[in-house]
Amino acid sequence: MDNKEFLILLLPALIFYSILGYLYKMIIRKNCRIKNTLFVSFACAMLLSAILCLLFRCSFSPGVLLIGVTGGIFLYAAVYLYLKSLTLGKKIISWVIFKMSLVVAVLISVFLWGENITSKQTIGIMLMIISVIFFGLDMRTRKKEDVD
Amino acid sequence: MWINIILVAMIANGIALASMKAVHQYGYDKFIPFFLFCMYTTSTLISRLSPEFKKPVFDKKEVFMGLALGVSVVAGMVFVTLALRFLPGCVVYSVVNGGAVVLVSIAAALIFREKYSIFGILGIISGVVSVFFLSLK
Repeated sequence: MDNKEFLILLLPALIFYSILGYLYKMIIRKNCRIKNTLFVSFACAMLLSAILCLLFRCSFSPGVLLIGVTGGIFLYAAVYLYLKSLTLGKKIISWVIFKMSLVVAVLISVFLWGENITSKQTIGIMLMIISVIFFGLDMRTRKKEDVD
Repeated sequence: MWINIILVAMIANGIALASMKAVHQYGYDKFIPFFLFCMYTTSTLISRLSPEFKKPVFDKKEVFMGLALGVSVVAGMVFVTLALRFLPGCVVYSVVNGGAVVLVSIAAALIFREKYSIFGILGIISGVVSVFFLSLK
């Protein structure tokens, strides 16, 4: 199996991440209190993952606990600060910068774990970053047209 | 002020994404549900212990949005962590982060007949070409 076949695995993830992006916007539009909404969402996610643990009979591992706690701290900080910046600053720029977190994740994979990236994949990553910037410009253009 | 906030959010999100890769990197593949449980328990505790969380009175809309967010987050993370078993992190992160934008834009254009500027069209084209390049070895 090559990358093309494995990419199909990413389709459900893509769909759920798209829904997630839409929900973030709705939270701001509907004036939901960030702290309360995040608490409900994380509690719901905690319950769902507890059910998954029971279903797959997961055992305890101190290493996973450490990675999970670290991930949880950064995840909370990321989502909270992103929603906060949406209420404080320019939404479009915030969105584009937040999407650039893929660069941080790729850099960690490359420098910390020595992941090899082929030249074709590098072109792919660059094009994806350009694509996000284009979408940011598109949002700004359409917003200006709406105002006019 | 907000630019600093969003920059910290970007770095924090990158580290959170990379923690999923760490699970595979250190050979903990069979502990994915436990990893997710630890991650969300930590986030729940932080949001509960935060000083801003004084009045635990919830609106209906907050509960609904929170539940929808929780389900999407877990489902998305499960598939991402599964994909990280077979695909390099650079491919998974790029496709999930950028690809979601491209997918929503294409769906909006096809289903809701949403009109895009030249930048939006260029964004869709570069996003699709990017996925093609990322699928190559």
